[in-house]
Amino acid sequence: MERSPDETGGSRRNDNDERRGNGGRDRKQRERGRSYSESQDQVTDDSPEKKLSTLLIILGDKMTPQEIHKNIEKIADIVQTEYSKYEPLVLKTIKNCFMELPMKTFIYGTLVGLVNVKRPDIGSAVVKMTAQTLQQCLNEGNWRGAKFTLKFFAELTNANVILPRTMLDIYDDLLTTLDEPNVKLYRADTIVYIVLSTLPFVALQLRERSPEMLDSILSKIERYFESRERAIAEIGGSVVLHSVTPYIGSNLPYDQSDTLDILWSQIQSLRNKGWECKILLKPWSDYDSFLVTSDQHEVDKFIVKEHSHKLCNSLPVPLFRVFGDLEDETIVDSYKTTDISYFLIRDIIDDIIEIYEINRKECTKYLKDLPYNFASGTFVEKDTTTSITNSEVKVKDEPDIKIEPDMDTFSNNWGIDNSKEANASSISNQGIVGFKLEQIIVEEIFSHIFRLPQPRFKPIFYHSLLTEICKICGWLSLYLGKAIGILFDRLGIMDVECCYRFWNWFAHHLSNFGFVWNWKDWESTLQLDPMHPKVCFIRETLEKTIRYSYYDRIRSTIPEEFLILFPTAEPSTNFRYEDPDHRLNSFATSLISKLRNKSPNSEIQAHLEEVGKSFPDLPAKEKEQTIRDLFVQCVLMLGSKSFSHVLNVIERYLLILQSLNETPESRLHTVKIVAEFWVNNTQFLGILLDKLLNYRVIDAIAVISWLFSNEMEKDIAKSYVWEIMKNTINKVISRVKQVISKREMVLNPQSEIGGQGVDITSEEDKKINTQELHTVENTLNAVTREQKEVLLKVAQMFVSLLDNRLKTYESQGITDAMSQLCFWWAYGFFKEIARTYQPQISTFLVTMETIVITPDLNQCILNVIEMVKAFEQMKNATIENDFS
Amino acid sequence: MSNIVQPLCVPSSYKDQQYQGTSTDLAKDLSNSTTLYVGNLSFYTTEEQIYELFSKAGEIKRIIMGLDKFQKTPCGFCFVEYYHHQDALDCMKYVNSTKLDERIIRTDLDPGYREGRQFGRGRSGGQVRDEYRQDYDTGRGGWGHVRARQEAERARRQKEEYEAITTIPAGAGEYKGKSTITKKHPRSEDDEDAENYGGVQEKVKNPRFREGRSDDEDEMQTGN
Repeated sequence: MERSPDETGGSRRNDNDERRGNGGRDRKQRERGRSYSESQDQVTDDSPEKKLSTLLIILGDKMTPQEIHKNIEKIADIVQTEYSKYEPLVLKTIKNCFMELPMKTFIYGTLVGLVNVKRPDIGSAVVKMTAQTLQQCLNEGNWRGAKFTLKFFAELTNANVILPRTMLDIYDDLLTTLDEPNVKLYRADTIVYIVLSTLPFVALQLRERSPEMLDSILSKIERYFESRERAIAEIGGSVVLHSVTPYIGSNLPYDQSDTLDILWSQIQSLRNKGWECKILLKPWSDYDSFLVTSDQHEVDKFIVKEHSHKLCNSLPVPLFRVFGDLEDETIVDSYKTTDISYFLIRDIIDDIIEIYEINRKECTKYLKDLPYNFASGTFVEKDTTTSITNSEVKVKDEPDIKIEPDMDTFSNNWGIDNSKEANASSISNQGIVGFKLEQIIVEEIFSHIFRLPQPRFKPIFYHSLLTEICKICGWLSLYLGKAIGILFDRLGIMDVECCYRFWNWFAHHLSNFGFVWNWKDWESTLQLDPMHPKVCFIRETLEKTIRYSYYDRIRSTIPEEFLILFPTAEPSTNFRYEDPDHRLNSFATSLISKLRNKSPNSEIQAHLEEVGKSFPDLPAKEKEQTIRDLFVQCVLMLGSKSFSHVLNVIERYLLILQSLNETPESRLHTVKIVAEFWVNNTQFLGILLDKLLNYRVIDAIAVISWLFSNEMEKDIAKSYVWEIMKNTINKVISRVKQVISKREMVLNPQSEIGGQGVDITSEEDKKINTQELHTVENTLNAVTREQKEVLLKVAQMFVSLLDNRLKTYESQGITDAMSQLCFWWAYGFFKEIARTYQPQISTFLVTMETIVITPDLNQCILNVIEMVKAFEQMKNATIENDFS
Repeated sequence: MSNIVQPLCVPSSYKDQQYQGTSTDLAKDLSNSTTLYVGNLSFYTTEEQIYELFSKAGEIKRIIMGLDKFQKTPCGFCFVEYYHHQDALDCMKYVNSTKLDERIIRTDLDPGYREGRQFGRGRSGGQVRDEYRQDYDTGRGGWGHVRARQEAERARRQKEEYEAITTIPAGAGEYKGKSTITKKHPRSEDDEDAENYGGVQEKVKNPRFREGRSDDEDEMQTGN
């Protein structure tokens, strides 16, 4: 029997918790070491409270529509009988359910509907709680929460707990935001999004019961979109949209429109189809005759408070797709982005990813089980009408509340092998076009990874999520593999930052799957220009995988032909004084032994002076350089064993290092010494520059100057160059942020203690505060100045690099600069730097324009500066309210 | 924030026996900790490999490799210290139970490194878990220490006492019993594994294996 590397001893051992490992306790620890989700399932607290809330939380998990019906009725009975005893608990749990399990809102809506028929007091309490939740979300700028609450209100409307009229009033309250004079674009967009994204769940009821009011709301939104289009055109909004698309250039695979525009067209198309959305489950519809007898409840008016743009997304989000519109027939693209169903599925996946960022294992579970939250046939090759579970929710007098179906059976039935379906079968008997869940999940996760300027969470979250999904759901690997192939083929039309994120992810992903990849598929790439993004992708992926593993290991995983993209030697040091013939060899040897013996600083100083004295004829400046080179190289050599070794030796001789680096020239020199010493180990190089910046031996300007020096131009398409640049800029920016938060603390010392206690600060203390404040303000000025200097320097260097290139091309008769790969990379990174640091650059845009812009500057360079301006305009854009 | 699902960034129930302080102190230390304990590493994993993965969650302040108390070589755990608490939490969410150097590693929030904690507390110098481990783990020096002694003893006896067979027996001609089905010797996977491992760890060579394992000279140390 063959076992995959994942299943061998390794993973068995992983459950072993070595920290507690101790012979006899071993077994027990193994149990405890299991995943958190598992341990959570084993409910230890079996109080009636816990049981009740668990019943609500697991309601609908992996249940067929029939099972959902049965279980909703049972739980409704339980809630009715237990409510008086556990009122706050029931209300809190219902709130948690619609706020954290938005894929099952229809179930909770129906449940409350059934309860409301016999116990209108409970219905009323739920409506009151929901209204409070919505107002709280609006106050806090928690837009996602507001969306979930609206979605619950929508299902409460379906279940006849509130009137369609009430639902429309809620929508209307929110949309009054559009009537505010000069409402900010981001604010109006946010409101319109949460209204439109919840409308499909309730639109049918609204149209039946209050068609005029629904129409009036839709025409208001329509007028909004018209004004919005005009406003965006005026501020050059298309510049912003085109600056944040993952695919760039001509010949793009599809139209990367703004997703809010697409949502509006999806809503219109749904309207034209009579608001019939077939993928939604509607358990309430079977209880129509019963629900019609219930009471309905009113809500108060809602108010949308003002919020800073930080709480909204002020930049457009273009549609990102991997699959679709492809000639590859093995990939079914039976759905169109114009269909509201496509939006609803991607939107719920987005919600699940956001909510379960805290637990990627749970996230995977809910993503995998999505077919149970939609009508049968929504997804191809998955039929949720047949029971996969024999167990049901057991009513309260039965002690345990397990409704765990057999997971293995389920996943096996859903394997890739069954998925070789004919295209014909993708249309189910209910007339729904089947989606491929695997494709949409892959597409949605990549859309997060490639989101510009920044993904919502650290990229590693998405990496680990994909790993987790691949581990739990083997079926996804096939589609992930296809996606990698498609994205690889599109590297030539990808934003350089996305290329970078792609290989960064890929290398990390491979490190989780034994570095197994069929490189041969990409053999034709080897014929391309060494600077071609595809070639760079392979080369950089290999370089990164070496960092996760080691040279020989990775070398053994790639075919011979690919060795031309593989480093010729293992990462190693480049210590010039090693050569016995070097004139400073003996000085270096004795210096290293002194350093190794931890000789005091004074002794080292004396030794360095000796070196100086041995070159009496050398001019002072060169003498200094010789000493610096010798000392820094020896420090690096001694510290070359590991990250910790080098930190130790730097810390021990920090004063000497700093004294040797007092001028800008000397700091640049040190950067170059480090770069030369670690030329064959870019990881160590990056780490060292980072730490030397922390220890203030070198400064950001020195690093930037070195990055743009002539000798670095050959490495323009290499990952480490851009990592060092961003890391350096980030360091400068984070210093500003730190000082700002320190100033906050000085200004509001109370806030740290957190109490609103009596001000016991004496006059004396207040004086000290002003003194302290003064110091902090000075520091803030200094670090802000440095931030500005560094960003200006970067911009200047980019502009001159690009401008020189353009002039060279002109003299060579090359008209299309973008066809030159060197230019393509440099320009792309300039755009990326401007896009990422736009908030900082905007604070001194005028200075930058005067310094950077020259009369004959090429338009494509000017476009980057225009982009920075357009971003800022977008943030401040307002809409004239002529549409009320 | 989340009420339904337990976040992955919570510390385990482990308590360092040598931690000086009350459980309240521990909870307080953990609630703003910037340090993670990292376990189940291969002995051969370097600081730089750890740096590459862990820096994806935030800037690393320092890494303290766990060492065999006698050999002073890495013994499969380390402490990673960040500058910010949030980065340590993110690491719990995103790095814990993913792979590094092809092993699934485990991270846990730690109240903070103190001198002395970098050494293994097992009798043989490594971690306690490697003292009693019953499986063969190439990345962690082969067998657990106790098992290694047993295996070595087995190998010695085999070598000394076994007498090679020169004549192959023919076996009985006829089997008189109920069943005529010849039952194959259930040669399990484990047997094969054991064979591949050679039963004796010396046969397995890891390219980065640092020669010189801890032997059994220590008797005075008590495990935690």
